[in-house]
Amino acid sequence: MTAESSEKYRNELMFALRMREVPGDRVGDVLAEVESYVAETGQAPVEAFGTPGEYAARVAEEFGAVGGSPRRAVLRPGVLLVAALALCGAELATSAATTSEVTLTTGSLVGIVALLALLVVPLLLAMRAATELHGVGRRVWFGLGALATLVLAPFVANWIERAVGAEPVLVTMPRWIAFALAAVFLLGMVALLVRTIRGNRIVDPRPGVVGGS
Amino acid sequence: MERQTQWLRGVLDLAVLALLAESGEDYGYTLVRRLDEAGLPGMKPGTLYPLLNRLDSEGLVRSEWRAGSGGPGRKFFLLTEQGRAVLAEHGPQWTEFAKNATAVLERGMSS
Repeated sequence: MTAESSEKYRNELMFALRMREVPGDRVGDVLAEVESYVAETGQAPVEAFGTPGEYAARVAEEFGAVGGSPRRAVLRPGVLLVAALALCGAELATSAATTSEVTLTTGSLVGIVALLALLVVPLLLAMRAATELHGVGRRVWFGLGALATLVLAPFVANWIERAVGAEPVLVTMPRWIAFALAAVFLLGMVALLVRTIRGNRIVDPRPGVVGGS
Repeated sequence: MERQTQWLRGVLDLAVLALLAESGEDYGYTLVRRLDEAGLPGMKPGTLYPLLNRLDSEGLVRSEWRAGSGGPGRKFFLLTEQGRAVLAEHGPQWTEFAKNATAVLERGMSS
């Protein structure tokens, strides 16, 4: 067992536990238990605890956390809200930068919703790639799938937007209002992210060990 | 070994409470080793730690991290009064169950 493989296991376990909505303090505790046991015995973490995905599922089950599929973590309202704020903010800011008057049409609204829905696919695939560790081949395929769908999603959303059409115009606003709205959306997204991260920080419970991830 | 691991799962919580009753406190690695030495092999820490933490959340054991001497810290588990009471209540039930199962098997094997 190398320090590198232990670090890799630690990172993958942390990710898998996060995806199962295990609280930060509990994640810190589990990571410290694994590290402590492996350091004491010299055993490889996979041999002692199983793959990160399997162990995270067992921890979540005993802890009574979400337990089920990590897919739920992607689909929870907080994640979708952050993604929606980011998309709307970026869309408004881009439009305001290129035109003096920003119009919101049915097509652009449908396009944003479609892009938000389509981005769930690469997120789910990326999660499978990170938590399904039974075979490197499977991980690579899930990773490639995530990358491909991430690249394709904006094109498909754009095609949907064009198919719906530019009419009717729902709202027209001057550039400065669009910028202000974009700033509100993006700041809201940052605030939401910071609050989530701060409220669920991973802390190493061991005395004398400084840390969080 | 697979079958033994299955049997052990049925009594693991009581076995852990019993080991802690004997020693007062212990940590994960030595509990795995003591189970093994007691003739209950095959227990993986990946099964034991989640169980210990469930017992902790149920108040049957209490846990605390202590600094290791030169190495990483160790998480010690201590039996609580509630844990002792659960062992006193369910321990005899398991013993009775195991005795009955043994009697059935012995009758079958000797017939």
